[in-house]
Amino acid sequence: MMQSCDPRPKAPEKVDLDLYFIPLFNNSEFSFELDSLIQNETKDTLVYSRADFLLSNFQLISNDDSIISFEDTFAFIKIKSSDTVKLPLAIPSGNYKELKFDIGLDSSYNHSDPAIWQGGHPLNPSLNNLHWGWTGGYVFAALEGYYQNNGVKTPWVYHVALDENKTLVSLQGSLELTDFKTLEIKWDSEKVFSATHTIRPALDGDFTHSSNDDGLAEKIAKNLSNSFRYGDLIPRSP
Amino acid sequence: MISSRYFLSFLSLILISSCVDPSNNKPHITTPYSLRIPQGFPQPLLPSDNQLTEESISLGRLLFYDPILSLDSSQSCSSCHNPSFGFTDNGNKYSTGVDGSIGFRNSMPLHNLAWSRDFLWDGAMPSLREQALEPIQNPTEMKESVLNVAEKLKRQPLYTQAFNAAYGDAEITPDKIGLALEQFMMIILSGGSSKFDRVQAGLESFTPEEQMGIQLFNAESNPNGSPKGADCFHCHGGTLFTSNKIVNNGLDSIFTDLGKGGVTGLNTDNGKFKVPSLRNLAYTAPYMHDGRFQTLEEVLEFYNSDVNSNSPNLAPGMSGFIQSHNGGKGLNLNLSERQAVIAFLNTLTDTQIETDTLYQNPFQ
Repeated sequence: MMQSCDPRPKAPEKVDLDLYFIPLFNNSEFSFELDSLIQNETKDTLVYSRADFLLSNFQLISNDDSIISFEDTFAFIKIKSSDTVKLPLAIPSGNYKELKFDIGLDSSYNHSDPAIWQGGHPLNPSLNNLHWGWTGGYVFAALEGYYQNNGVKTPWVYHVALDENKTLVSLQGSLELTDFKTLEIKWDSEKVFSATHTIRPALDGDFTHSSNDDGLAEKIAKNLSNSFRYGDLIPRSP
Repeated sequence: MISSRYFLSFLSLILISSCVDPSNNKPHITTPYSLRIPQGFPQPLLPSDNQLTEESISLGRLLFYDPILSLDSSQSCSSCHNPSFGFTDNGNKYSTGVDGSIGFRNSMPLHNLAWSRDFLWDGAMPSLREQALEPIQNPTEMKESVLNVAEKLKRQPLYTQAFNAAYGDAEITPDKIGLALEQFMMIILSGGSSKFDRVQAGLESFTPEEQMGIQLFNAESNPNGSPKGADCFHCHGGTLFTSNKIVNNGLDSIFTDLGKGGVTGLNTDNGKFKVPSLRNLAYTAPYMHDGRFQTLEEVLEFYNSDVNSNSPNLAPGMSGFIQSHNGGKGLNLNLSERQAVIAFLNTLTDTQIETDTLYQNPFQ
């Protein structure tokens, strides 16, 4: 009876959060395979044909520094299909100041038996096409496309793998999670070539599978860590 | 005392495998079939609206081997997908339809389709049930109307009984034909009994040549250094030996068959074809979507030195195949290295697919 007298809707005690990834190039949305893109810093002409990620270790840091960890939440993001990640209904309603996740997996998962994952699980190799078979381990980020090399359309392939190339992404800024919301995460794909290290496929290599590459994959991983940012935080139905 | 967990499991089993026949209110009982997933295979994502049952699989097998599906009852699915040839067309480059028409693509092997998606060489069919009905209606294949097939089946007591057993009523529809064929094709597996699988299980060892072959298979292209790499694993890695992607592997610089581009209408999809599984290669010659290579030696020679670097939409993953080296471009594998790769590929031969009674012609 006492509750029914209060007309204000009650805020949920716990909420979930959808993460929606938006690929951008020079701050504009683009089409995979179709658009030729000019990299501002390097002036290279680029096309993306693939950008797939395995994400793990999601964490939310609240304004009082408490940490909400999503230890069993993995995500396979196929950027081409504008995928959404759902962080489960375990987030105490409140204000947060940071979202963290890894591009890649902890070693124990990276080298686990890939046959154990159910169909539809982000780590199922049939779903993600990111497992290197019996040689072991996953590709954490598979980035592919073409560039103009002396006027010739030439493929580039950057596959970031190996335990040491697991990469932390830290997004900082106020997040008011007092209700069910979708957080847009913008991926500035041109920063793969420029965020921290300048990478020009023709000069620095157009091909890496993370070994014997003079540190190219490590540089790409570093660039990736600085290529994501917050977009809008949008209310939605539970 | 039965724990609630086991009781719920039992209850869900009953719910999954039975439904009420509206004509007589008797529950329709079917027998769930558990796919025998070979060791090391990933878990498949099976269609939730077509759960495997022994009755539907049996029906699908009847349909697969019955020439009644074709216009003049001269051809069945198995005419072009013969288990003795890894469910391909008897070594033929192209298949011949009921009226003598010749197709323009090589018959694809049928195995491990439970892990596949985007069926046919060009990925035109999003599901196996839709794929199953396509050759029936294709004017260069079985040239029949699927509605007419349903009518013909209704006149066969064998099928009214089989549909009744599978679905709880004798109504025969194109949808049910597709679903039953989907079930049968999903259970055709290749894996677990090949030499490769036995080596993986610790039951056997590779010869030195096969060992060299697997190392080359899994090594990246390295034409200017040592050791060399055949770079196969990017498209054919994992226990399924396919990425199931649709890509251009650089066969041509001008396309006479647009592949996926013919489906989507996008220039950027021209020349793209499905990456086939390498399991059972010994059975499935000739190779490529148009059967242009008769032997694995020809296939290796192509990948070693003949990939077209100027092929539009060449898969970025093929960049290792067009690297320059002192003598030209490509992988730069010598003859013994190429033979080693072939020796390894032959360890993927699985005779079980030819002999497993589950897959055989029920009319024989």
